[in-house]
Amino acid sequence: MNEPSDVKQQFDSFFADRSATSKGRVFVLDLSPVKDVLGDRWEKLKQQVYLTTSDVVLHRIQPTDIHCRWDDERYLVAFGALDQARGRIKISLIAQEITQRLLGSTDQDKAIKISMATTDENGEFSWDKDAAPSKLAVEKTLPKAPIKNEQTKEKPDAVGRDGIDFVFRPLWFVKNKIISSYFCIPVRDKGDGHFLSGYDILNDPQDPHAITALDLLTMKRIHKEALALEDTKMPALLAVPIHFESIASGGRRSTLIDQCKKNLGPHRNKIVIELTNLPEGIPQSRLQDFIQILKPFSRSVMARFSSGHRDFAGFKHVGLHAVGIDLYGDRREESKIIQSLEGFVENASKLGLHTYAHGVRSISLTTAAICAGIDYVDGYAISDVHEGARDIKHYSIRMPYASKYSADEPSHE
Amino acid sequence: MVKILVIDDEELARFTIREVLESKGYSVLEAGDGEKGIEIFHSEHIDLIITDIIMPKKEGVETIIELRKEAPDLKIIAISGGGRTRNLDFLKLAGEYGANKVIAKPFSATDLLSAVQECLE
Repeated sequence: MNEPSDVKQQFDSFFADRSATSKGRVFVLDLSPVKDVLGDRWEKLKQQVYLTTSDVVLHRIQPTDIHCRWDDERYLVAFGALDQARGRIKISLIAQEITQRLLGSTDQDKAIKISMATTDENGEFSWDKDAAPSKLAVEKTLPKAPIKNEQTKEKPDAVGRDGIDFVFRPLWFVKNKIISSYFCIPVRDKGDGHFLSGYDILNDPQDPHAITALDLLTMKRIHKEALALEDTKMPALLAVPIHFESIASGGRRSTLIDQCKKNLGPHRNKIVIELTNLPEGIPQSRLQDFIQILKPFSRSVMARFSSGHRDFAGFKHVGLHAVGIDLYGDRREESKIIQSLEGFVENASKLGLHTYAHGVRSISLTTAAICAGIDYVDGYAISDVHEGARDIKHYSIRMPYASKYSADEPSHE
Repeated sequence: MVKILVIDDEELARFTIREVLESKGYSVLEAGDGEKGIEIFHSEHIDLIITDIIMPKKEGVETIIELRKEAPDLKIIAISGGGRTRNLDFLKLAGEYGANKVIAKPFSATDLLSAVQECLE
């Protein structure tokens, strides 16, 4: 931990440059839920907790950001070049990763809490060198992210763009031990450090126009990210979800195709499309239609199903590269999830399909997924793919343990 | 009496191992996952731990890493069938992270007892 005067100097400098806009950029990570879970073991294990926390923060911040451990249970992180909305996303992802690495799959009430540090009545961030940590002014909870309540049937507004952002989950090709692609996931900040994703971010999840609008927004984000990647020469692929509702109806489909041409076509070799929300029992011929529509804009097409899905007959022949599941919102006991993994993979792989799993949120699920034979497993979400440029692209089965337990490497290879 | 903790999410596996060990006079405790196993370790005096790898909540390699930090001299045997793919890489990793012995499932009672006896010597 830095000496207080060094930290004061860093934060003084930070706010001197940006005092007019500093509010909403200093976040507090509260580790007290971890302390509560560990109980008597906190004193023995807290150095490991700090190591893991610092590792995650250092890995995620940019040179324009600063951070420090404020006291026994709190870290401060200040983002120098992000607006409040992006800062909220980033700090939430940081908190999620720290929580998952320390506590594995856990309930939200046990997750690390985040809050914003505020300024005083003069609008200045005051810093008292001798102040006790408890005197740091914090808002107890993050103010709720703006959520647009109205929704129209006009495509650009139907999704309520305010508050929607995107995160990227790296997908690890287990056999080759590399990160192969980054899945773009639209999210909405709930205001408590957690995200809504998928249909949950829509005001009306049943509205097909809203779903299509969401897909179009996502494609625009992918386009932007692909352009940034071209500048960096990174070899990563980008995966974009397209919902069944966007492609099933003739009218929405033609709008979708126009946007695919504009946003995906120029980057075809870097794009993987994931079809989502396909109805159970979708005929092979229908799936083939969809794949033929989307294939010109991508290097491959994958499709997401429920973990209970078993009938994959003919899917390989119609051009589907992989089938997958999303465990992010699956709150069943891990033992039940592990059981369903094996059945899913067995049925898919015997028909020649690759398999992938999103939202694999613990080491126990990662191990089970790999031993079940899942080909692609995802990792911790990041806010921009170029942030992943600092990640090791090679990724082996040791990485989750090395990440969670920091410096504890095995004694020999 | 030597006390052995068996950590495996499969009830039948725990039952079988218990039968073998108790027939030789060992006292056996059981846990269905690594989290529960570590909890029992903290509340009982355990001489040896036999842990599976693929388990919910906290799998075997994690369990071994955490136990090793707290008890460097604890005897640990890792067992695993490797799942659907018979992937034994995690068993190998368990050895590297501190398991004294690793045994691939299925194993015989003789193999298990030999490993236990070697660890306890």
